[in-house]
Order: sequence, then C-alpha cells, then structure tokens
Amino acid sequence: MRNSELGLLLRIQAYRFCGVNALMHGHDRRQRRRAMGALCLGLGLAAMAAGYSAMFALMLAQIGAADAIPQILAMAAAAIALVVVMTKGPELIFGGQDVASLRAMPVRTGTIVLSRMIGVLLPLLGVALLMGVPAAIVYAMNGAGAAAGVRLVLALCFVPAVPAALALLAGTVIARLTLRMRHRSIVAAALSIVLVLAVLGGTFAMGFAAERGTLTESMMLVLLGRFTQLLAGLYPPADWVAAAAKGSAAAWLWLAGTAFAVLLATLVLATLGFARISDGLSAGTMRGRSDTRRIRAVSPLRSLYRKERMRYLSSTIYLMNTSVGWLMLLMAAGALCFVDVKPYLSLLSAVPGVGGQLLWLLALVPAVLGGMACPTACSISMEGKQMELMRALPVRMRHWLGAKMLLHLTLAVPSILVFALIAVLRLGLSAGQTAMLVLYPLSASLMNGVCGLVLNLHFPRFDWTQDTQAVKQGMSVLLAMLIGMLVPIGVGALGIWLGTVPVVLGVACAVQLAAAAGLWGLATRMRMP
Amino acid sequence: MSNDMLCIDRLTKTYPGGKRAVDALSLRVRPGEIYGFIGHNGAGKSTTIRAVCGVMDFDGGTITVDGMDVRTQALECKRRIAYIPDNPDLYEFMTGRQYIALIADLFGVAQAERDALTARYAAMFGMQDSLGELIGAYSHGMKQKTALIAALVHKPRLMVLDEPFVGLDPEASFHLKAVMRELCDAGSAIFFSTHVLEVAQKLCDRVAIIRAGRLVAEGAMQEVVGSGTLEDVFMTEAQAHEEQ
Repeated sequence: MRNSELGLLLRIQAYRFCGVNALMHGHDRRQRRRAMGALCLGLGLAAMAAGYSAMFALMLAQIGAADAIPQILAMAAAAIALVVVMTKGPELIFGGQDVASLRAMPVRTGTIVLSRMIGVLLPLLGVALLMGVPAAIVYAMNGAGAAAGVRLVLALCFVPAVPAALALLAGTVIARLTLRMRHRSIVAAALSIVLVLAVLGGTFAMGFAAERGTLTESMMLVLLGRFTQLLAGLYPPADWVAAAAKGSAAAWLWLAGTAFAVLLATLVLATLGFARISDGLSAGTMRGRSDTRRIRAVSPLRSLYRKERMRYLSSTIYLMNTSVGWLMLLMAAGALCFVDVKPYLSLLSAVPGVGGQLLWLLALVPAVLGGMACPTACSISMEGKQMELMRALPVRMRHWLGAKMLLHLTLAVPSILVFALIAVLRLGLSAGQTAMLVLYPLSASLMNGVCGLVLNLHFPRFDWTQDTQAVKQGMSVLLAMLIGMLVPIGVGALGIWLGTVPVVLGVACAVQLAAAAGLWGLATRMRMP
Repeated sequence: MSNDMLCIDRLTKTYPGGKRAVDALSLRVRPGEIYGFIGHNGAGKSTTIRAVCGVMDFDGGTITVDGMDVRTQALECKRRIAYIPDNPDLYEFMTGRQYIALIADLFGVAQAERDALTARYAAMFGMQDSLGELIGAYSHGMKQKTALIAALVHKPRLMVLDEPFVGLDPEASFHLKAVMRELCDAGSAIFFSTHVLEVAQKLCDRVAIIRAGRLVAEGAMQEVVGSGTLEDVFMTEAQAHEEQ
C-alpha cells in the first residue's frame, strides 16, 4: 500500500517536472515550442556544467593534484546541496499551493514527506553525477584507473544526502522560529543567507587566511594540500569519498550508513513536525489589532513599485535568490576593507595580457555578480494567479514594468556604489578606473534588468505552485543568468585579447545602454502576457 | 457611437485544441441595467466575461464598453470597468487596506474620496477591523468583500462580476444587491454571471442564457420568464438542448 501511495505522489511530481505533462497533453503549440526550447537550454547548460567540471579536473591533473579530485568534487556537490536545500528545501517539503489538497488525501504524512524529499534529492543527485562523471573520467585517466573512476561516481551518489538533510533541518528550524513573525520572509531569508555564507565563507577563509605574500604555482599546490586536509577535518564525507574511490570498504560503510541514517532521521523529524510547520507556512498571521493607518495616495508607478517591494519581501526564495549576487558584492566590499588583496592582485597580474589592466577589469566584478540572478527575470512570473487581476486593471506597460525595474535598481545601484567607494579608498584607483567601476556595472545592470523583463515577457510562467518554480526554474531566469554573467566575461576577454581593456569597457558601456534603451522600447510595446 | 454601456457583437472564442467556447454571441447592456448572464458550467460565461474585461483575447467579433473598443482602446475601457472574478486571487502579501490603496492609485481616485468610500463600504461589509490584516489570512468571503470594496472605491461605469454571491454571507449578499441597484440608479451598469437563478430573477432587469457558447435566450426578465420562473426557462432550454 505504501509503495503505491509513494508511487502516486511521485507521479504527481513527475507530471509537474519541467512541464512534461503539459508538453504531452497540451494543445497550445506556442507553449510546446517554449517547453522544447527550455529543454534544449537545460541540456546546453548541463553540457556546460559537465565541461566546466572536466576542465577543472584537467587543471588539477596538470598541476599534479589529481588525487584531490574526489575530495573537491565531494565538497562541491555538498556545497551545492547545502545552498539549494537551505534556500528552497523547507518550502518544497512543507509548503506549496497543493499542500492542502495533498493533506486531505488518504495518504500517510510520512509518505508525503518521503515523496517530497525524493523530489528534492533526485535533482541534487543529477547535479552530482553531471559534475562527477567527467571529473571521474579525468581522475581515472590520470593514474587512478577505471575501477577507481567508477567507484568515485558511485560514492558521489551518497554525498548530497548529509548536507541536504542538515540544510533541511536548519531551514526547518529557521522556518519554525520565524513562523509567528509578521515579516518572517525577511527574517528567514536573512538567517538562511547568513548561515550559508558563514559555512561557505568560513570554510574558504580558514584555508587561506594564513597565507600572505606572493602566490606561486608551488604555493597553490601547498594550499591545495592544506585545503584537502581541511576538508577532511571539516567535512569527513569528502575524505570518505576519496577513500571509497580507492576501494576502502570502511569508507563505503561510513558513507552509505551516514547517508541513510541522516535521511531516515530527517524523514522522521519532518513527518512529526509536518502538520505544524505546513500550517504555519500556509496560514497568514492575524494580529487581532488591525492597522488603521491611512495610506497616502501616490502615482500609479509609485503604487506599483510599493507593490513590487512588498511582493519581494514576502517571499524568502525570491528575496534570497535574486539578492545573492549583490550580497556577495557587498561581502567582497567588506573583505576589501579588512583583507590585503595586493598579493592576489600581483598573482593575477602575472596572467598573460592582464598586466597593468587589472584595476580596469575590476569593473567586471559587480557586473558578473549582479548578473548571477536578476529579479526582473522572474518578476512577471511571480505575479502568478494574480496576473489576471493586473490584466483587468488600467495599467500602462511602462508603469508595470517600470516598477519591476525600479526594484531591480534598488538592489543594484547602492551595492555598486558601496563596492566602488570601498575599492577606490582601498586600491587607489585613477579617475578613469573609478568612473568605469561605476558606469560599466550600472550599464550592465540596466541592460540585464530590461533583458530579464523581455525574457520573462516571452517566457512567463504563471502555473507554479511553489515560488521556487517561478524564481529558479523558468527559462527566462536561466537565459538572463547566462547573459548576465557571460556578457561581462566576454567583454573582459575581448579587452584582454585586444590589449585595450578601458576602450572595450567604454564601448561596451555605450552598447549596453543602447541595448537597454532598445529593449525597453520593445518591452513597453508588448502586450501583457 | 451607440449609447450602450456594453455591446458584444458576434463574439467568438476558440481555445487552442479547437474547443469553441463562445460562438457568435451578441448582447447589449444599457446604462442603469442589471444584466444577468446564466449558463451551465463550461457554457462560456467566464470566457465572455474575461473577454469583456480585456483579460483574455478573442478570435472574432467586437466588444465595446461605453462606445470604446476593448482591443484598440483597452486602457480607456479598463478605466470604466470593475471586474470581480469568481475566485478573487488578490495579492496575499498586502493588507486589505494596501490593496484598496493600490487600486485607488491605479484609477487615480483622490485621497478624500477614497478615504470616505473605503470607510463607507468597509462598514457596510463588516471589514473595518480586518482591512489592516494581510489578505493571505483572509477567508474566501473576506477576499470577496475586499475585492468589492476596491471595485466600488473607483465608482465604475460598468461592473462585471463572475459569480459574485459565492462565499458571501447573507448580510453581505444583501448589501451587495443594494449597492448594485444604487450604482445602476446612478447611471452605471452591472453585468454578472450567477447560478443562483432566484437571485437573478429578483435582481436583474435583463437576462441572457448561454449554452455551449451560444445565446439561447435573451431579453427583459419579464419577457424571458413570462408567467413562469427563470428556473423553468433554464430547464426547458436544457432539455431542448439534450434532445438535439
């Protein structure tokens, strides 16, 4: 009976996965074409991730550090699992618009939780394998042997379990603690971001904090050695993966035993707390004392901007995923205040073609980080079922889209200015470098914002049942991320290749501003989706 | 230019996949009229209503609101319409008061007027103490009432309601009927769908019955029902359709 219940619930999740069911049974040709496009894009991204993993493993092999591949792979898979589950896990397990109907079904709570946990773990397993297989091939070809490569891939399958379970636990505790707070989304997002950054930042900071002076290749090898030692101490499963790849039976036992034990414990705890947390996540908070303050009349644009702000702050997932790049930029600005980066800059200056242009290239940092996730790329999808409401209202496209752009700029402009100010003070930039450090990221941010809007107008997704589906799984989000990150990287590469980084940055600024203006004109002439 | 508040002429809508939801439907709603739109589930009522409000595009025919085409003068039409869908999915992250302020801002309602009307309708629907709470915490009926207050605050020329009485308590239903009549007396028009035939018969000046996307009966209430009831007419039409 339990198996059939589980199969049924998994089938519901499968129907929803990537819109496969809509693709099979829908009659809308346009929607089908879009679904096929999304599928192709997903495959392309998967190929890119696999290629990146293979290249990274090759680089390690070339500097004679092939032995570190298993630990670094395990750590990367664990870090991805940690970040992904911390940001969306509690909602995926306990939330969603279909949670009430699921709970009304004659199905055991444990089965609901198990099906949802499988739904969270399977994609993580896919990512681990996507990264693991190419790197394992490199590992096998560099002295470890084919059997060790196969063992490494199998061992990696157990890796996401522990960090996912721990992240889910931490996320659930945060959700539980913030349930009764009126602004729980903001508090939960802040706590989750702090926790994730503390874990990731702490790990890397401990590995490199002791190093000073000019870095060399041999120094990197020493650092790598220390890093892998540190991983073994901080995160034992990374070491077990390496030992399991070499054929240690004890390591296999530890790896599999820990994964199953932690997953079982999480399943039991999540099942016991399911009703309470689910109720808390789905219900609003009635304070019994109503807010009777008068709300001042404002223009349509300001009113819509107020609405966008409230929407943004109401969703932990939306807030966390689209502010992460800017938060990283602010953290980098903070790090600039306290860390002497000159040794690292001197190391990077040794890269052929970079030379004296390094400080000009600094302008690419805010652009790349800001391009990681842009709220406009999912802001239209986030309208969800309420889109019908907006369609019926007398709203001009330029006001509706303008409010979304203003939200994006509210995040981008202060972050860029803070980073630029600190960089100027700490690195002694010239007037031209300072101007470029402000102008290039601002132009990139404008273009990314408008580009995100256009993409989301073309690929809206209103049928989501969980915020995650709109924020992370839309085609517009993937495309906007690719454009947002690859354009500045391409601009930097072109500048280095031509040997005139300032000129290329200046031209790119003008092109980006023109593209933003052109796309804005296009977007405001489009119809509401 | 006609003086109809709403004029639907040969409206046709076919969904992807070939299902024709509305087939050459024509009707007119004049200022001061309460117009009932009756039909079974899937008859095409909501499709028609959504097309009127500019929420959904259509394949053929024309729709004008106060003499303006909903396709070419969409914004002007929307400024005259208040649309209450059957399941009011309002912004759950806003309080009722914030939502009403948003709608008032979009319709450009002056501060004093919006304050007065919000207070009046909030009191009428028993929402004074709840408008400061998040809509996410509201019941279906409370959302419906909030949507109604927001709609009434901008004094619409044409009010379009899809199943407005579903979820409302008897007192709120009573007040809604009174407000509908009051709006029509002031020159506005009401176009609404319902399954509650008794209410439609008592409230409406004119009525249309739609079946499988086609209009099967239309006219002044007295003409359509004659000496019987609206339910009799509806059931007779249903039987005739089954026999076909």
